[in-house]
Amino acid sequence: MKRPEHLPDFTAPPLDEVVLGVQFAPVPSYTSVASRDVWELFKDEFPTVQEQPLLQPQFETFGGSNIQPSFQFQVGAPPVGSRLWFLSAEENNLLQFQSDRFLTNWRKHPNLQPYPRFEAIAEAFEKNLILLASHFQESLSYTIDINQAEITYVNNIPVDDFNEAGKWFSILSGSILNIEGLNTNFNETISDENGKSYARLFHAIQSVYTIDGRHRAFNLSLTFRGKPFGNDISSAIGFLKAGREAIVMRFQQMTTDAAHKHWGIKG
Amino acid sequence: MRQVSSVFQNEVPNLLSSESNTSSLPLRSARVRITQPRSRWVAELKDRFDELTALPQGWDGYAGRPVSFNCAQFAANLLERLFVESVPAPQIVPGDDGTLQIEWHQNQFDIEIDVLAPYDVCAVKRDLRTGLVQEIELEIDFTPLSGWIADLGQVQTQAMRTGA
Repeated sequence: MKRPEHLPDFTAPPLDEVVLGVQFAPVPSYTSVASRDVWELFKDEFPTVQEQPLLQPQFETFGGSNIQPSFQFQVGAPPVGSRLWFLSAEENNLLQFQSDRFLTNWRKHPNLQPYPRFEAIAEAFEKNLILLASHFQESLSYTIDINQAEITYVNNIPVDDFNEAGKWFSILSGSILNIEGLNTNFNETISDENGKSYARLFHAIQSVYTIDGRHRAFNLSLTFRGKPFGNDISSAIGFLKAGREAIVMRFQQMTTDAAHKHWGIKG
Repeated sequence: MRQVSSVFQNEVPNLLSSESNTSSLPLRSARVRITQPRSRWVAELKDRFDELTALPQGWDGYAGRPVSFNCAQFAANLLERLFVESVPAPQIVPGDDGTLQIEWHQNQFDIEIDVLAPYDVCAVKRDLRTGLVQEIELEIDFTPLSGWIADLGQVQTQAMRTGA
């Protein structure tokens, strides 16, 4: 996998976390007992297991007069089972699995590590997804049927004062506002070459504090989510690549030239 | 670089908007934005969705399956997007294969939406006044359906004005 040349590149991007994931039609008759076999696929690289609450299905649809983004709606009895986290030894890499989801996270913390770049994360995710799909096929006679994919970039931008927002975000550049705190969410629809909507790009900017409450930062989160053109793994990876491009381009457009210089923009 | 905790955001309530229900998962995980439904339709149909997803196997006297959670979730999402205040909530009818149908039959219009699976939807509109029948297949863009519902809303409003 090669980095597209037209994308802006930074020596020290403020990335804190990257998430790649797919949602698929639930594996029929899957039970928690089968999760042990799933972990066996990955445990050499991800030796630690944690349990987390299940993620509810999410569907991005378009059209209609109610422009509220997708929502979560509990149908029937509370879901049983759990989502499993498989953590790497240093805990910076994570796989998340439940009967209709598979995600991977790269995290800058807890052990500070340089960003391995999208290509490396996506290649590893594709390899692991193929492994999981083969296991489904061989052990459960289930062909993976991907109905949604998503990619998220979470950035943390340390600041001395939230009033510096205009220094970092071009959409606030030149603002006369004396910003005390920031909590902004907006989303846009992404269309294919025929003008047909197929994904949604969610933006969120929040002012946050360090755990001790003494230092401040802006948290900029960009999520690209929607239905890949096909229901197979290669379509999902193609969707994630498109999402990465959209996110990186928007990141550059939303942030200022001074910020780019601070993060070491190349070229 | 200083370590920043995104989890800490939850402890600073003044930085969260009143309608945001963002949940930070523990231990620096990815956050998931959770939005609650706002439409009257979904609120009114909640019990019906619960009922249909809890149908026993063979509920129809044959091999009928309960409505799948995935179909129900997708249908609820779709209804939330299509909601029009002037149109009453539709009826929801189970299919025998885990699918469901959303139906309006009013003011000389029939609209039937078959949710076969997430992103796999067939819809039929019958105008009983003209005999015109339209049929469409949809995946992710429900703009045509939105037009049908808007038409239904317009007819409903006119009917209410004329007392029909």
